[in-house]
Amino acid sequence: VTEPAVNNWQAVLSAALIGTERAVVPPPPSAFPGWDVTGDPAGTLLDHAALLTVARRAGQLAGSAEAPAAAAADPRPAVSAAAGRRLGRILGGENSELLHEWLHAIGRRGLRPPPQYLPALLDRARRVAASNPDPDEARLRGLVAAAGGPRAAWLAGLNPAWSWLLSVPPAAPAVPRLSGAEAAVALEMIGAQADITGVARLMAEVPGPWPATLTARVLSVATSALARTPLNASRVIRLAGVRADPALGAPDGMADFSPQAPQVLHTMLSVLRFRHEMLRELDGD
Amino acid sequence: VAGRWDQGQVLSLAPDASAERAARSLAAARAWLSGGCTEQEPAAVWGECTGSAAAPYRTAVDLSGPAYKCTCPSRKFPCKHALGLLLLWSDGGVPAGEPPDWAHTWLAGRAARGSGARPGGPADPEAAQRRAEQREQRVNAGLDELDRWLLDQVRAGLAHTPRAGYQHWDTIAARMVDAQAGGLAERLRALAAVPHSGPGWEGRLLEEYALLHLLAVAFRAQRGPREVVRSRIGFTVRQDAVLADGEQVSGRWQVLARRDMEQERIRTRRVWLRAERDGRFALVLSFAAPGESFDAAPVPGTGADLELAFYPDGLRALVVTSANRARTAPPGGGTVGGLLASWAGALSRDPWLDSWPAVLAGVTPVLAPRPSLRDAAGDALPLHPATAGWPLLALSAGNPLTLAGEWTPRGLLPLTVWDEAGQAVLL
Repeated sequence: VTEPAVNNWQAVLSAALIGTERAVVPPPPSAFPGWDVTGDPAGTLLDHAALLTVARRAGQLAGSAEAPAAAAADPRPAVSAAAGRRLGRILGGENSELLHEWLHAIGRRGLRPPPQYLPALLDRARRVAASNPDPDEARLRGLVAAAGGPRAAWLAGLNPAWSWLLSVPPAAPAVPRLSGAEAAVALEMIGAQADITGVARLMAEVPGPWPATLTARVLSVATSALARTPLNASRVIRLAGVRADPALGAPDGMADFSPQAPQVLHTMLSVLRFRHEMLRELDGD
Repeated sequence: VAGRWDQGQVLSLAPDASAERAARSLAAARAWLSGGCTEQEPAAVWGECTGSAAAPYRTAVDLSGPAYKCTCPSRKFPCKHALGLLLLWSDGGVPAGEPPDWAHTWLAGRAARGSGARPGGPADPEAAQRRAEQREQRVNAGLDELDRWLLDQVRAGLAHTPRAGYQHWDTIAARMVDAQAGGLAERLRALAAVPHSGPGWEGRLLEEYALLHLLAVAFRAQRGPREVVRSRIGFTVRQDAVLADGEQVSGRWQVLARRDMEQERIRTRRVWLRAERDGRFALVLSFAAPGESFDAAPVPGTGADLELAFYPDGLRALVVTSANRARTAPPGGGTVGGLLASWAGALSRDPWLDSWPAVLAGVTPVLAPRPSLRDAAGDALPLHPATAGWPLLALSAGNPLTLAGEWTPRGLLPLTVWDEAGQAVLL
């Protein structure tokens, strides 16, 4: 099939769109003299279209493109494959409140996230405003900028939706840690709260890791509120999993932890174990 | 069936040495909760074996085939349970009896389908011949009807098609189901999405109509690649026929890529393999009903010693045995020009082909002026609209990489990318 024949495609397509009842059907290439061009024009058109379809597919030519500018090299080592898969699970919605801690943890260890998840991280951070009342959420953009490194900056230069990254200082904000005295104050304040909503609001402000005594107290308050306000109580139970000392998630970590209602412990432990494994993977075992 | 088989006869059925070893450990009466055999037609052996699952595996062998059935998840054929049971029976360790309901149902079903005899052909060759002829006639009539419908479409013009609902294609697809041309029905149903597939839909719809017309012409005129035409229309080849008569190829295979698709609520997983020895491609399909997961299909980035049985098209294959699965180095990739040449060759064997495996090395994803892949020589191919473009760009960061995927008429769809550490990342 010669090139002019392949170029007939547009004429054949136009005739097919209008319909052979009204349109003039382009003659098929003379290279195929056996065709019955005096027969049904619709048949001739479909024969012709079939020939051109296969010829155009088989004759597909390469285009050309300029090589793009590459991102600056990132000297940080990559996280382990297991840690990368865990990030995928977190971004997929499993224990998603642990994203901040995962990002903090790789920052402290000087690791970089798997590049294929950078777009999802950038999208996730795009959705939070810097003025978000939740202190963790407000810090997310800075965390993603720090974790993303030069590759994230390169991507942000290509996608206007991520341009916020270029104006965020990529320094990881310091993580406040709870001192013993502060924990004692928090314990006292829990007792002064009238309801579980108050406890939820208060405890969201108390950074981790919580000592075991504080975790136990929070769980006991949440357990007693579970029947009346299950939604708020569940939120507090999950929060306890996010803020508890991660060492409690080790297989025998809860050994001398006084048992609460089993399902409460179960919910908190599922978060806690996930966290424990998450941090262990980042240390490379 | 003349009496019991000897051990050698049974072991000649073993798919590989490991199945043979496993079967020997099951060839003891204590491994079986129940069992029996009958010499009455159809002669059969059956038994229940405790396996790793809670319920015992139920194994039955139709000796006239032989044909096997087992509820275990093994993909080996026959599985170790069937072989072990046959070994035990060959030793005289299985008592005579009447088949229990579950075994009887299967045996009776086989007898009724007339497929109970391999080798040796169907139980009633004349009836089978009659059925085959009837089907040819139905398909012929169906293709006449389809071609008339296609001609009507271009007579009236395609411009109004977007206003037609999916019933427009559903009606003619249902006619093809009646005509026992399931492959055509599937292709027609998929067309309902074309008018909503973005700019250029008119051309894609005409291409599909033209290729369907070509299929009708090729079948009626008995021209073109016969096996390809028949399989595209919907004449399926039974799995056991492929296992028995298909071309068998064993060797080291690299798992390049996989793609999951859903149609009519059935999910299909396509896995592309490439032979390490000669670069031959193979396509392995697995299916999952709603709520089910896929069986243990090979994972991209690994390699295995596989024995494959090919369908008549020489591309689709079944995994007969699999061993020594291990992570492998990135595959050797080609250039854009090499891919297009191999695609043109594939189209000359099957003009209806709409995807072809692509393995490219040293290619860089480019965003502008249109999303494409550029090789070291500067040749570029467009990316398929469904490409996970941002993760692909993030993996490359502007540097060349090795990837595998499918080349289609709508562009290249990357499915597996190897990162700097040589790890396979599935997009």
